[in-house]
Amino acid sequence: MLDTSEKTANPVPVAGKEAESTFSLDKKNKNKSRLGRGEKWYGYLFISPMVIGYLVFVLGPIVAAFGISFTNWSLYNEPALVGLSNYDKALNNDPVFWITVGNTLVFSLGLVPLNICLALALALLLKQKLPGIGFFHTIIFTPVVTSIVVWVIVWKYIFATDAGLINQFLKLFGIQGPAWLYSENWTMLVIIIVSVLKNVGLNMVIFLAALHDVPQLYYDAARVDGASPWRIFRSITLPLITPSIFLATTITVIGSLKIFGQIYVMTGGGPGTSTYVMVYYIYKQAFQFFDYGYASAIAFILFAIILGLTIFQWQMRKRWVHYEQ
Amino acid sequence: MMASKTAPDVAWVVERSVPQLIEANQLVDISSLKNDSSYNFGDIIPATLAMFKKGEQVYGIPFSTPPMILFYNKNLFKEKGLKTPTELYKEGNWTYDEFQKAAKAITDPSKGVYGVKMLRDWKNWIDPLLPIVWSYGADVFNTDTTSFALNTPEGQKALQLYNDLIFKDQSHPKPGDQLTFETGKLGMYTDRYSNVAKTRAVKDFEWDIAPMPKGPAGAATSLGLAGYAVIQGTKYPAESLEWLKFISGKDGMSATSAYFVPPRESVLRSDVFLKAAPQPSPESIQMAVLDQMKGARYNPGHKNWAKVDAAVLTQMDRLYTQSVSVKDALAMMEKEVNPLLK
Repeated sequence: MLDTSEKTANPVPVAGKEAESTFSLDKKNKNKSRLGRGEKWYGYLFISPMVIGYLVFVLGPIVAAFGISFTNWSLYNEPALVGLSNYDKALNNDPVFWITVGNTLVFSLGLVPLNICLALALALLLKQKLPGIGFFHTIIFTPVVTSIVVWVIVWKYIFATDAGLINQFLKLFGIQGPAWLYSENWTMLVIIIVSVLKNVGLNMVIFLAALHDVPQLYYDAARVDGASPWRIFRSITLPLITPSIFLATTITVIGSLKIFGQIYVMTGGGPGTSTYVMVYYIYKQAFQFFDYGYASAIAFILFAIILGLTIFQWQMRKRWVHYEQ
Repeated sequence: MMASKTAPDVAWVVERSVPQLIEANQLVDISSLKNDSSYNFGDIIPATLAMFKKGEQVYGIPFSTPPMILFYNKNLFKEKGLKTPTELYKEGNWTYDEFQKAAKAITDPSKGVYGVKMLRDWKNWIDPLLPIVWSYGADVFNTDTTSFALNTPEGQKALQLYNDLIFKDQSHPKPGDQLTFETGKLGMYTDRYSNVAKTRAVKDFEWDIAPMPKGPAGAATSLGLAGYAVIQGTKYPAESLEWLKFISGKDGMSATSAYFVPPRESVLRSDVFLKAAPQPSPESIQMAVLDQMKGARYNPGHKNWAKVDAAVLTQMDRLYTQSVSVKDALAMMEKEVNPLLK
């Protein structure tokens, strides 16, 4: 029986690999003692553009926004400190805030499983090296590099109520399609589908790379032992690609909690408040109602939620992610 | 830009934001134009200035005051053997009843043809509603914009008419549809006069313009407003004012009158405006635009307009998804909007 757990416990003593690792360890030690003052400064110099850019354009505004969240700045007036009242307003006095949190979570819960499962299925289907398979890789990946605004505008026309492509198609079968973007039930689902179709290509590419890394000899051995395709998938493929699944899931969760473009272009948060998500609400508070203090407070509550979820996923990683390098 | 003090010297300001901007001291007082003899301040139609004034001080000059008018597809009317809005208007019979009947007659689901569309964007509720609401004797706000006034029997009738066009008669495209007049699939389309810029490019069918219909309380239409203002903090206040004088003076307005309905009487009645292009005809422009401007009122504004707009739109959306009745929607609007107007 093939024991696939050996990778973590004892590195397979493949000829040359051990020697290689000691050699590289020596080299590292040598380098450490070799780095004199001159070379250290070169290192800092090379990373300085990126660090400066990060400080000025990312870290700086984040800290500034945190400060603004404790004021009542509304563009024209002089900001005045108001302590925690913005946070208090969001958490206790604003029913719309909780609606946006709910909508954001619903969107995330709908998108992530659908996206991951579809990406995995596509990767499994398209991993064979058949001639022309690259064409399919390309069509599925193309939406990822398309502008989100262009993508959403086209789908807005496709899902238009009577004149849209989908409802015209359904009419051929005598079915009266619903008002996809003007229905409290369907609109969020439409946004989820449009978003999944846009980004599934990215996760598919991640999974394709992971699947290629699974050594063929494991599959051969399993087939020799008489394992069924489903058993092979469950016991060999899936465990070996869990690091990539973890990566894809984390990125997708974080991205899904921050969506904005689709909502802004397709529904404007509507109908009513059924597709108000957190970032759209932040945008509305900041740039339509000019309440920068409140908008910043909501932004940091969102940050806290995303941080919390990411830490949770990171902790859970030990339970289901195997074979990390 | 105003916050970072990098705003331009003179700008086109959206009329609904003007109260907000005046409150925040972002616009320069240009009342001196009133006394400038060469400028002929009295030539500007007084109603168009109301939004740009605070008391007797003037903070902006309107340059385009297009009323809401009706564009109609002559071919579709002829096909169904209907009298055109222009003919009905000349007879004195252009009412919302006739409007509703014509819309229903033209609608043809099998061809994707609708009788009427009253908006460009489903997020815009004020442009389709105001003319109907006013001609039924109702209003969205009270005179000094301190309370929501649409929750009355007249207001209900007006909103019900709009609702019926979409869901009962089905002569208006459904929420979410993006149909435009230029496709030739709309019998009638209401929009500002400035839309002629697009319609003049139509080659497939004959079209014309007509006034908005009249309701139980008479004919009413809304005036859009766009104006120029000098932004506070400009380094060249004197030059900015001269420039503003030039572009909003008689010559400046004549130059832009092909598309922008000029708020200067002298230009409005001149051939420069009426004969700017072969379509629409001077007669139609006279009927649909000039004759209606006297009684027209401008869209309301308020310093909290963004929040009011969002609150009303939320309830309109519930009407669009058919989740509430007109009565309940109006009650909710009143409840949500009144606190915002304080």
